[in-house]
Amino acid sequence: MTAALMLAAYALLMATGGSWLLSRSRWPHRSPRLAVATWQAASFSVPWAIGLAGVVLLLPQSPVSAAVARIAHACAPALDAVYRVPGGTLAGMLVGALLLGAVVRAVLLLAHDLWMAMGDRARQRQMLALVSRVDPTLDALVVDHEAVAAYCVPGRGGRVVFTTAALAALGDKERLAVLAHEQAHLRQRHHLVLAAARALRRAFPRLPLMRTAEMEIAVLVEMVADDVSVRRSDVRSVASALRVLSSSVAAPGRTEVHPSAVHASALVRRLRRLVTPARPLTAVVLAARSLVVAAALTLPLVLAAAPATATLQSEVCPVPARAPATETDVSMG
Amino acid sequence: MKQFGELEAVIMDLLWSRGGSATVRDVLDELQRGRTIAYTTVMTVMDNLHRKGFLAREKDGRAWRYETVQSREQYAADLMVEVLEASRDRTGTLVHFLDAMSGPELRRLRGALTDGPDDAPQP
Repeated sequence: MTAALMLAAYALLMATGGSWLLSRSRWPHRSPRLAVATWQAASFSVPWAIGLAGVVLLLPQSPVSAAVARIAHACAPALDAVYRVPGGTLAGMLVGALLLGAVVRAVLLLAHDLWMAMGDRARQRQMLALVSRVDPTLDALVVDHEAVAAYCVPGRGGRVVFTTAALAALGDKERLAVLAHEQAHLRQRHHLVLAAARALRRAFPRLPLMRTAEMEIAVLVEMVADDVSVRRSDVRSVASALRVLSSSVAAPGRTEVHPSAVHASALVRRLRRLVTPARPLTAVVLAARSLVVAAALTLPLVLAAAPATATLQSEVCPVPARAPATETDVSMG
Repeated sequence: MKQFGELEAVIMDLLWSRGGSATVRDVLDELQRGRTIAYTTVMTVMDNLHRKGFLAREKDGRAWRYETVQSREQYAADLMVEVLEASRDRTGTLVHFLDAMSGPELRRLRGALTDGPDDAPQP
């Protein structure tokens, strides 16, 4: 019971305080890769803690606890006792099932999104096979079209695609910069990062943390790809490619694009850090922040398992006749 | 399967450049100028293209006569509509260099973009 409460408190703390701290922090543009991991840890830790709270609540009522006790050479009744919910097992089971259900729903949403995206991409690849040609100088596909666009189709055999209008707008060095940027997306599987953030936002629509995480992660993976592109070309080419494409990228007549400040400010943020680059975080700070990320994800597990580990130390088992654990077993376990 | 994919593109190209309909025999005759290829292979690929909705067909005597459903330009246009919609919804299906923006957004941006285009530091 205490474990479940602590896990719930942890989820709440992450969803409010963690989100608040992260969105106020000034360092993410200096190390976008770590910032992506941090936003991911903050947003994953919420369903992770909620799910573990569900497990902890369901544990005393399930055959799982007996199995866990057998494997760990622990005392089953003692294990049940520490996780017991005062005020009735039914209430505990109900809340536990609800919590676990919310997490299962998030996983299903992600699976659904990934499945749909796979179908969409298969159709994209089929159409591209028919209407695009391979650019001999650039490792990319080219589609004849007057809309300016550069993008990649992730997945097996991922390809980078330019429209003829995009190629016409860009110089040689800028083309290579865009190519390197898109190849970074492909290599680092950013589409999966984006899909996970989107699924979490849809699974927990009331949590501002998930909305902010999705938006921030979308900008940060662009910054990660920009950095790769800068290393393979140069700052000038990446920045000017961004300027050239942004001044001509517009939705064609048939697609209505909703105005949102998000995309625009994302572009400004990307440009700003290219034009006036900040020092990357030092190795020490990087290591320290990585530890925080790891801690955010391990703490829920510690909270959930703490009562159980306490029972492993006790050598007395309330039901001696049926206890599987002898003293030698305990010392071995 | 990979060769089939390539052959699909070659056959679509051929039909588009002919600008009309063709039987498997017509396509085979054209293809055999450049390579050796079996009738059944061409038939299978054209049947696949029909099944996928890229070719329409009607009986012409004992053979099927195939015709493209849309022009290459129309397919490219359809493709780009999907691409730009994916950009707006950010589904993670495709990853863009830059998200699609509306006119007002671009106007808002103009100031930010013209600010110091040349103060990019030398690498």
